[in-house]
Amino acid sequence: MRLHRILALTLRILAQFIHDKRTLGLMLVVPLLVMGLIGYVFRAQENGKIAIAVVNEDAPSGGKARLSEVIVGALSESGKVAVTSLSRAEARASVRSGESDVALVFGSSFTDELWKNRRAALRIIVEGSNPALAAAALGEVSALVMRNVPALLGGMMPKALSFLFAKGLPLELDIERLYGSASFTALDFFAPLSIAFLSFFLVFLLTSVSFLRERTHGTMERLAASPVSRLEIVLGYLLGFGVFSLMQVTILVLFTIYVLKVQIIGSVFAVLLVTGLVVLGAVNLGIFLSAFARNELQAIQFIPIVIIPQFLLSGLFWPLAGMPGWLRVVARAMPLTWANEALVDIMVRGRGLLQAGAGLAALAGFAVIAGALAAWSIRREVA
Amino acid sequence: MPAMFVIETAALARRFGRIAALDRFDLAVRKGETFGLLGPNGSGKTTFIRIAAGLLRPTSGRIEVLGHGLPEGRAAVIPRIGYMPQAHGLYEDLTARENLGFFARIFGERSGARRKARIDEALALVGLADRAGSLTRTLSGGMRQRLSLACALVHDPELLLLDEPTVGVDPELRRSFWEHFRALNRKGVTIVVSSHVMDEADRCDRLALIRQGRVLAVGTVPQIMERAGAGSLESAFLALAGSRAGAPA
Repeated sequence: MRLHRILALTLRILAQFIHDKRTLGLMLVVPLLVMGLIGYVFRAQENGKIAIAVVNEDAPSGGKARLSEVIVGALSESGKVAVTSLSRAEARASVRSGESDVALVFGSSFTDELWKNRRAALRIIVEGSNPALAAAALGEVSALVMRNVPALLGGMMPKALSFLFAKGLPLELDIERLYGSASFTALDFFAPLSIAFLSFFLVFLLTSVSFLRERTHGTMERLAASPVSRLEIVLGYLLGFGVFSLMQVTILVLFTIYVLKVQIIGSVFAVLLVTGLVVLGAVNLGIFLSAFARNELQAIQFIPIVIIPQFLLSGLFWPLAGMPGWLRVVARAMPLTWANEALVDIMVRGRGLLQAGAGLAALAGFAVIAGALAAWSIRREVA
Repeated sequence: MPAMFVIETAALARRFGRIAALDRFDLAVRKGETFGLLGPNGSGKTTFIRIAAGLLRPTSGRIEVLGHGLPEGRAAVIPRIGYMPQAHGLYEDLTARENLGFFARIFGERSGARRKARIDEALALVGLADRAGSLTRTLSGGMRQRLSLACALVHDPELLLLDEPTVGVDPELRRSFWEHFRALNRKGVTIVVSSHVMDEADRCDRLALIRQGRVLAVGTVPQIMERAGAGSLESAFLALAGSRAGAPA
C-alpha cells in the first residue's frame, strides 16, 4: 500500500468534481435547498395556529350564563388557536375546504346539560381524510379544553358542583368526520400520494435515462437523419412507456387496494385514469430534462430537484390551505399536488371523475406542456 | 444542375461560433460512384456529411442533394439517403434483426414481407445472417460496425453517407466493406465515404482531399498525384496543403 497511489485517486476525483461544475453545485447547494424546504414546511406548520370554527347554538334556560362562551374564551386566550364563529353549515364548508382545521359545535342545551346532568356533549367536526391531521387537531383542542376550562368554570358554578371539575371537564367528545371513518388509518391517506409518487418517480427516471441513451449512443443522430418528426418521437415514447407504465400502475393500484386493503370509496377506474395522466406527464418531463444531462449520473441528480419538493409540497405534510400564498402557487405548479388531491378526492372522499375534474385537467395540461417542451428539446438544427 | 450529380455544393460554409468548419467548400459527386472525403481529423468531413444528411444548416453557400436544395428540400431527400454516423447508433438491447426492423419501419417500410426481405438482404450483405437473433451488445466491435452499415442500407437508399465506416475495422472486414460498396455502386447507389486513412483512397472512384474546411483537390488518385507532381497521395496532400495559399488548381 502506497500513500501516493491513494492520493493519486483522491486528487483525480477532486479534479473531476471541479470539472463537473454542475455536480459540484448539486452536491453543495441542493441539500441546503431540500433541507431548507423540509425545515420550512414543518416549522411553519408547528408555529401556525389551529383554525377553529365555533358553532355556538348554546341557549341556556333561566338566564344562566353560557358556559360555552367560557370554553371558547379560554381557547382564544391560549394563543394557540384562531377562533371564527360560524353557522353549522358554514363550519362544515370551512372544514371541508381546509380553512378551518376543526369545528366545535355547542348544542342548544350545552349549558343546561352541564348543570343538570353534570356532563355535556361537545361535537367536534374534522375533515378526516388525513387521520394524522385530524388526530393532531383533536388532541390539541381537547388538551386546551381540559387544561384551561375547569378553573374558569369552577368559579362560576355553585360550590356544590365545583368538585366535579377536580377530575377534569365532564365533556363527551362526539367526533364527526366529514370523510373517512374511525377505522381510517394513516396508510389510507398516504396510499393515494404513494401511488402517484411511485408511478411518477419510476417512469420519470426510466424515461430520462433511456432517452439520454438515445442521445449518447448516437441513435438520436440516426433518428434525426430519418423522416421521423420530433412530435412522432415524443408520441412514440409516450405510447411505449405509457403502455408499460400503465401495466405497472395497474398492478400497484390493485395491490394497494386488495392486498394492503387500503380503503377506497371511489372507482378503481378513476384512480387508474388519474395515475395514467401522471405517468404521461412523467414520460414527457423525462424526455425534456434528459436534454440537460450529459450522462446517467446527471440524470439521477434531477431527483432531489424534481421529485423531493413535489413530495413535500403535495399537500400530504402540509395542507395547501395552510400554506402562504407564494408557496401555494409553487405547489399548484407541481403535478403531484394535483394528483394527490384528485386521488384523495376519489379514494377517500368518494368523489367522481367530474368532481375531480380540475385535477384531471391540470394533470392533462401538465402532460401537454411537458410534451411540447420534450418535442422542443429534441434539438435538430434542420427541422 | 445536371442530373448526373447527386451532391453539388457551391461555396458551402459552416461556422461553429468562431470556428469555420467548412469554408468555400466546392465539390460535386456523380451518380453511382464511390466518392471519398479524405482529410485529417477536424478537417470538416463530418460537418459536410451531416449537412448533406440534413442534420446541419449551412451558414452560407448552397448544397443540392438528389436534386433538392438543403435544408428546404429535406423532407423529399431524407428518405432516399442512408446515413451511417461515426458512433454506432445501435440499440444495444435489441437484436441485430430488431435494430434493422426498427430503422426499416422508421423509413416507412410498412409491409411485413418486404421488410423481412430487406432485412435479410442487408444482413446477408454485411455477413451477419447467422447473428440476426443476437443481442447487439453481445456482438464484437467489427460486427456492430457491419450492423451499423446494414442499418444505413435497410431502406434501399440511393445515396449512402458513411462517416468513417472503416475506423477500427480489421483489414479483412475492411476489404469486405469495399466489396459491398462496389456491389452497391453497380446497383446505381452513390456512396460518399469519409476517411482519414490515405491507403483507403485507392478504392474510391474519385476523392476530395480536405484540409481545414476546404477542398484541396478533387479527382481520381492518379489525377491528384499528377496535379501535385507527387509520387504518392500522401506527398500530394502535403504538397497541396503547403502550396494552397491562392495557388491555381
